[in-house]
Amino acid sequence: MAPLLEVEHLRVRFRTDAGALQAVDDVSFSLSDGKVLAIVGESGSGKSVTALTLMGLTRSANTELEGAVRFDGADLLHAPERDLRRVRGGGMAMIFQNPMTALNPVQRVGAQIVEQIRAHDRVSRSEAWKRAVTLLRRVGITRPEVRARAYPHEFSGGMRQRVMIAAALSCSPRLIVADEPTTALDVTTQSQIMDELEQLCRESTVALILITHDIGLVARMADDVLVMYGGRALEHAPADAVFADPLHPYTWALLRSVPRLDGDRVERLPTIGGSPPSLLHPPSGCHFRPRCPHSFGRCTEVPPLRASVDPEADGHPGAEPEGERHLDRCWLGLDDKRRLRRLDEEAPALVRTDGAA
Amino acid sequence: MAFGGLFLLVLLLCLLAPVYSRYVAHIGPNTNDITGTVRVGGRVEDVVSPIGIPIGPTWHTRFLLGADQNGRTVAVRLLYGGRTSLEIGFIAAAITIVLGVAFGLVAGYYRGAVDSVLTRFMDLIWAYPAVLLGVAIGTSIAVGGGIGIGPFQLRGNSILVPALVIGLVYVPYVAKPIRGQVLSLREQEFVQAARCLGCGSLRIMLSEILPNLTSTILVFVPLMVAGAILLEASLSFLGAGVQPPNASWGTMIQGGLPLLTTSPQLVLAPGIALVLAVLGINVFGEGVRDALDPRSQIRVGR
Repeated sequence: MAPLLEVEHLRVRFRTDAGALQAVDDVSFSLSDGKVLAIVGESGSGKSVTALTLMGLTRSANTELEGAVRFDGADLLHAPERDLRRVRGGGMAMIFQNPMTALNPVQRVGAQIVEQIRAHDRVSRSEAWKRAVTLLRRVGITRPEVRARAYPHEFSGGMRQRVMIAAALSCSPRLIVADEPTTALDVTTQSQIMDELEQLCRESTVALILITHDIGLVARMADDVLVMYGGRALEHAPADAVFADPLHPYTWALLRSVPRLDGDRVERLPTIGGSPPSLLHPPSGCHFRPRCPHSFGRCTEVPPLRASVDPEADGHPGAEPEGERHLDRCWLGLDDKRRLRRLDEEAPALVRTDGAA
Repeated sequence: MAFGGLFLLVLLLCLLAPVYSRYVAHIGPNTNDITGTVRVGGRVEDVVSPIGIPIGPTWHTRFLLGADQNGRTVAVRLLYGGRTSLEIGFIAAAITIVLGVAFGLVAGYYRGAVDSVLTRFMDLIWAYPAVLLGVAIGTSIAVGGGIGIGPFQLRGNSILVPALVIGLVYVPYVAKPIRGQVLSLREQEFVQAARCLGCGSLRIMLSEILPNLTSTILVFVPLMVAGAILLEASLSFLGAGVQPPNASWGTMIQGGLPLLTTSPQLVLAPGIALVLAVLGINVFGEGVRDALDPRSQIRVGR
């Protein structure tokens, strides 16, 4: 069966006054119904631009798009705006980072969901209203028939994000793109919202692209992980493989900078020195080279995104069929990576704490 | 709020003029009584003296504020004229707001070529002095005997002509700020969110952006009504607005000008009415703005 969403060699370049800005550089991934893909990376790594491009929202006279985005077999990257509009909401919906600004402040929340329903389905206003109330109940808003008449400022952040989720679910999409859905919320609300979102997605086999900084969230929810840096995918693998055996120096640095519940309490969390590259003047070769402690001569050439070959054959995870899907973009050999990683950290990589997710 | 009340009082007095003036003054606004007489304090006086000077205020129901040189009663003409002025003010403001908001919305939302064309067109209107443009359009329509677009026929002496002219002249004053606000609103995340969930351009403009413009529009309404009333008076004074014999404050001031030294009430009465109405609505508008604008610290007392 063909996957629900296929992204192939996606490149997004913005022409700006200061020069061309390569925001997304050769990113490929695919996603099947009901699966969760996490895209992780620092700010400015091209995660959000990738998401907006999927929705067709980066189109403008100053944007160059290359590659292919196929949703349910149909090309979206070059589809006319009319076709895109049908896919948005109905096929895939998006949840934004900041629920404070993503709701229209002067419209009742119920009315906003009604608008979205009526943009897709020819139903009466009262019918749409009933559906909006049902959706609000589904996302855990108490007394939805009353709350649907309230304005966004009468909701807390978590409640607003629930409204956003309800709006995203309103036209039964097959894919939801959540761009840092919990970044603006406090920690307890974050976990509740994500639990609910995960449950709703699994209930109706909705695929989810989760864009986040939150490694814990990735560990809990993701089936696949795509690590982005400077617009490029540095590592792309099943979530288990990424956490058990991160192959790119950036990925393991990223995982090390997460506080751990087990093990010794350290005074200071390890950080990655320096800052993400400017996409206007990116470093030559591997984008991570200037910050990578293990860079060597060859790193001035752009490394390909490929499966690491394990020369010692059987026994290692890299040689299993699973290993075929573990791609990374680094010139180091597999053994060198594992050896250097062990040197970098005494403790093993973050272990998933619950087997259920 | 006192000024709001003042404006409402002027408004009601003028709009209801046809209902009651006949019973108070026993004379219509366009009735010539040039050869008539009126009893003032036991003496019978000519409405217009043999040398052409009209009677001054009698402070009596008949010819309360005196007569003009044609023997028409100033008080009744003042009310009828006010009615015309206010009607034109409201119709013109409605035209301005509707067109201005539509242009601003479309220009700000689509940007690019659409915006350039509309904005240049607005600049073109803006570059003309409002009165000059009003006189030019108003006179040409009046002289041409009116215009007809399809089933809509507009006669040259209809009050809709000045209303239309004034409405058009002020469109850029609304369209420009609205456009600016739309430019910033369209980049808001909730607009992007709506687009993500499959809303089309029209739906985004009407149900996402337009409601956010409500307070701006509400602030513009009283300002535009006041501006339209003033421009109407100017145009009528210059002969390009309301056509005689219909009364309006502007035409009354113009008619009274030759007799300014002998019968100042002919100019003063409509002049004072104009000032009261415009002052009332302006202060009322300030109140609306203060009440709606969360950034303004001054709240209207209640």
